[in-house]
Amino acid sequence: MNTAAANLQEEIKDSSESVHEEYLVHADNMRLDSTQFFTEFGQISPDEKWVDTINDSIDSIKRQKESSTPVVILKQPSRPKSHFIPLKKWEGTVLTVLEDSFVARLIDQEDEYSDSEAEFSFEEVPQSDRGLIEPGAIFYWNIGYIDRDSGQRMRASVIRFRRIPVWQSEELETAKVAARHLRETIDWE
Amino acid sequence: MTGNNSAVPPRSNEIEVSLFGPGYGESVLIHLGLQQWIIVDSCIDQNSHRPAALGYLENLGVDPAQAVKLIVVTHWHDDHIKGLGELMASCNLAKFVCSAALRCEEFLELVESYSQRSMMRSSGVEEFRKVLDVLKTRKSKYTELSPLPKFAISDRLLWKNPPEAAIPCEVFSLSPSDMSLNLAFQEIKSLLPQEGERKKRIIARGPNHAAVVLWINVRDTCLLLGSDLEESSIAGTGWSVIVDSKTRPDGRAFIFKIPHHGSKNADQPQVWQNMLVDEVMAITTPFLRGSVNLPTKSDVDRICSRTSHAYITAPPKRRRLSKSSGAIAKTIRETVRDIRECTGQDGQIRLRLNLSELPEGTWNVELFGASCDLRHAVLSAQGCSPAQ
Amino acid sequence: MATQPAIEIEGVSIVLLGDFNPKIFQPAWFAAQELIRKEEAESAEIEVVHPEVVVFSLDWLRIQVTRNRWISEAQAPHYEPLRDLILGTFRLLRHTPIRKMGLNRDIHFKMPTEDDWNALGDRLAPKEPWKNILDKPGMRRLEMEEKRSDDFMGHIRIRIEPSVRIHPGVLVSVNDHYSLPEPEKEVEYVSGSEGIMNILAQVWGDSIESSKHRASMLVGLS
Repeated sequence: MNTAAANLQEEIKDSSESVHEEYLVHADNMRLDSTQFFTEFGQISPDEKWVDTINDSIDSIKRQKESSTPVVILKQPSRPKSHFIPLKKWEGTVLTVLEDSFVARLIDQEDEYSDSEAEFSFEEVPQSDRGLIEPGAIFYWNIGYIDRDSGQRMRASVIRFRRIPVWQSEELETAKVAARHLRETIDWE
Repeated sequence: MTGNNSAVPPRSNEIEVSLFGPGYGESVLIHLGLQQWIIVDSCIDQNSHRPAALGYLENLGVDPAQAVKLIVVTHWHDDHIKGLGELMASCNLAKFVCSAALRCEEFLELVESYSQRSMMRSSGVEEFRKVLDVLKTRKSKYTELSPLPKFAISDRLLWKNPPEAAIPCEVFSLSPSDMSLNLAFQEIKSLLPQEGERKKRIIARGPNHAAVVLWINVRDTCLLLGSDLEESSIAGTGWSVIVDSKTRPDGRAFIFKIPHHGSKNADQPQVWQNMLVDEVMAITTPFLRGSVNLPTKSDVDRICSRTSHAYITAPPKRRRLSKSSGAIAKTIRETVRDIRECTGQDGQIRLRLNLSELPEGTWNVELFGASCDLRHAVLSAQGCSPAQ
Repeated sequence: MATQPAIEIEGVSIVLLGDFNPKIFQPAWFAAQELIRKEEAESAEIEVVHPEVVVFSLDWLRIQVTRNRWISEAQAPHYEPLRDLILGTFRLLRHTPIRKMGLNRDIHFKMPTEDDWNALGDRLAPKEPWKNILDKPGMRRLEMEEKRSDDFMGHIRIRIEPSVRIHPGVLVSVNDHYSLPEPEKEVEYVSGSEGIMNILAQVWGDSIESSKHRASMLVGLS
């Protein structure tokens, strides 16, 4: 085991707190243990075998001593430099595409019975989403403020088209089979 | 004429036709006498967010589980089907009827393709999915009690009450014709997703070949409900084939639910000449979508030239988005070229006639909510005098 | 001056437990499947890409994947794109065994005053039982849990602690946890990701809203 990893083991052994230090092993030629330490996210269940606690890690490290696999401690994710304060949210469906704009039906996400139609210029849509504009396409439209850590606040309109996998042959086949079964299940006069 | 109390139920020997239309969608509720009701299509009441027909029946003190005998869905587009799943679940004993265009396996494939698993919810097929789930449940639990569902085609008797009933009633479908069915099958097939295609919502276009027109006889009274059927230049489709049919029921209708929100595309003068009484009670709902508000002024002029009794559930007028203020309104204005609300105002037209007064009796017209005389509805400066 | 707690910062994360092959989940792969924009993949901040672990960030998303854990987090307003990304990924990789899912909502509330902040701590963790044990005790973290009473297996766990980002503020973390039944030898087990993905598609909207509602109720936001 290399010196850096050995030093790390000692640190873990002595520490009574979760490790936050920025130890990051990046080299391709190192074999990594998949242990890591989480701070905020990652809670699943206390019933689970947590591999994230210090004791488990030490045991894992001891077991792996012979195989020379150092532990990877990932740096804590850096805080985002801004955050979005949502004011209003719609889900839109493109109805018609015009020369330089499109008309969409909008459903207010706080009131699904509230229904409106709006015309958007293509310029309001991010360049890389414009290829997705076609009748039936779905997008999200959010209005809010962006507050930066610097204290600056800006109003924002964020449009993002929905991206999901294309129709797969398996799901179409499943639909065919289910349709056949449905037809056989319901009797008609 | 304006309604005083919508919660007064009809008498046993009173026929009632109620039309609900909030600007997107419509629903017709008919009392056939003797506490027997039928429902045609479904829309959502904007206040309660429940099927308008269901809310109204409950308001009258009517138990839909017992009283509703027939539910007809005239086509599967989401403006005629919203809330249908809940309606079906509440009306256990109602026979379900839909267009025969939906019997093709491709339609069921469409419904299954757009199930939750696909991550693609499309409201019309999704609502139809709920109906199919109810039918499946009924089959397993209520075989003896629940009548079998039925497909509607031209000149078919869909339902009649038992021979011993004091008030004879029959419900016929006058469409879709054979040619219309073929066209509808082709349309449905064209909507089926293909492998490798991007997932998107279904946007139904073009004339509705699958629409079910209904003819209802209640003793000596006839009703014609025009659904969304449009006239067509294709032989064997549209209204012409209905007018010319030798096998449709005889008679002239006293009430006409004008098809397709009074649009010119759905107008066939021979319907008025051959199938309706003079001064028929004509009722319709507005349509507030896309670039068109229906009925247009010329549609209204045309309809009002044929009868002086024409009513609409709400003015065909859209409202600008008004609820937002401050930063939201400012950002909306800066982002979009135009934005309008699509849901109009709730309104109900109620027509009642005492069957013992036939054939000379006059219909009692009551207007609730935003409903009004059709002529008044297009006075756009004033809008419409709302029912008091 | 504010008289009620206010939501200042919020985020959603989805954590999956299963068997993953981390090195698949690189930005380029997501872009190739058109699950993210090509430009996002090209400008992704990659921390590590290795057969055992992958970690990268976009401007709205952070993903960490190891052999048995997938963690993805997004800030407002990109919650639905996060859901779509996961549904899309595991519809494509439907044989990936996933056994558990946590839908987590983290909200930093700003309290109107420091007195309100202290009062919240006193209400949730009364100091009386600690009287003779600790001198001037203060609540550092409180966690409560309920077993699910709906159609699913799992639990709902809520944790509250002082916020390190807002003062006076609290961080409320709601973990809405779903598990699949354990596979039984005699019964054909639905393997792969389908079980959990169906749950995600079904519960997403209600989960996100109810988590926000629970967190708001806890801090007294009406």
